[in-house]
Amino acid sequence: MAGEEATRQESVEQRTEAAAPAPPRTTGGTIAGLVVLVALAAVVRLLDQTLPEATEDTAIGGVVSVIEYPVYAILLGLLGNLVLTRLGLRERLSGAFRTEFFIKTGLVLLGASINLATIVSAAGPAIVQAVVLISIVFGFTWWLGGRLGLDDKLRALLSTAVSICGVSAAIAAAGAVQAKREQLAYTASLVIVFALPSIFLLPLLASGLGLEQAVAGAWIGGNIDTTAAVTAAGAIAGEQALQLAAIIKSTQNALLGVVAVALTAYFALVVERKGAAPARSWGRDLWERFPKFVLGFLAASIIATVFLASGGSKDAISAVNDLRTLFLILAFVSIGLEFRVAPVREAGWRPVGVFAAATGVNLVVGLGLAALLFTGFQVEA
Amino acid sequence: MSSRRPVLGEDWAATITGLVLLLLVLAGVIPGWVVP
Repeated sequence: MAGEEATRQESVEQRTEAAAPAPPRTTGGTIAGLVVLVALAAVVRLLDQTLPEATEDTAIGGVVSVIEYPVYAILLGLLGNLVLTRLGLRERLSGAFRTEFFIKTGLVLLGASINLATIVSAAGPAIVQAVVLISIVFGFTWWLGGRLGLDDKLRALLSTAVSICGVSAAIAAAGAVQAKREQLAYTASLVIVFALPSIFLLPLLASGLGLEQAVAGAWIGGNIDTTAAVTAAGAIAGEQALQLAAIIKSTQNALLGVVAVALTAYFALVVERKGAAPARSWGRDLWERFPKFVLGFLAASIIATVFLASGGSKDAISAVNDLRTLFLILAFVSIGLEFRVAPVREAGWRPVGVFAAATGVNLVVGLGLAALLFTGFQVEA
Repeated sequence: MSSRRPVLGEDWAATITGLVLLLLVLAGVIPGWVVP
């Protein structure tokens, strides 16, 4: 597991290393980064818990009362990013900004607040939505990238990232097609640049369109590329929307291995014409690329459902939810702290155009599928 | 590159951390008031 897993997980490093040689990371730098991260997270928690009451009778009270914690977390992360970059410290401290770790831990804990019956009844439509959406969006992105003359490897990265799960998918695809590091950096940065506004826009659009919570969650989960951004948008849209968004995104994540294995075979047999796919066990390949946190998410739901059914206290589940919120805050602050636009500027307009068009298709098709498959869906208490 | 990081992937680490925390809270080892 170690080699492939480590490669797949190195989202932050590969994004930053592509542009310029980064200063070496040290244990001291990582500890200092952790202090900054926890301090910002504490401010987010404080703002979320006190600001609505403190501004209740003021002119901004109405606006503040509808702002959810992901908004504070991302904005403070971006502010911290700006300050640390100006001070020349960001890369030294970046070992602590582990968005992937925090978001996956938060999602495992989120599993405890979702009744197993909800996951079981959502599984069928979630798989249908994931397969149809991934096929259409992947196919469209691959086709448009070809029309605009993009390199096949970059097409594969963009198509996988926009249709499945953003940075993780791009990293898996980069390993599958042996893409250049700059291509991975472009794609990873594009994912973040597009995901950030989506976090705020999709819940607003869902509310403006009057979507049911389940439909809004399914739309957000099927649409926004990174799992962290999906969770942030879901949290803004509402608890039921968050649960559905997490189920949909976990389903897409689970399909990542299938697409990565298919890409490996396609590039070996068709694009590079090696005559044979690499001599590896496909079953082993699928397992290595399977996101293990999805198993944790399911296990947490089973444990909590059994715990409550056997007379366990709901207060304990509330404490788990608070813990989940803490990890999600750490993840959202990390998103802001990791954000970089330089690789996108270096990419030129064509990959950006392809990604933008694919995002548009994803938005429209995803809305149609979410409305078709999840209208009237009941989230179990 | 892989020699710089632990053998345990971030994916597994997050999964184990989440489940261990869940079990500790449900078992009452981590009481609710400890979580800010």
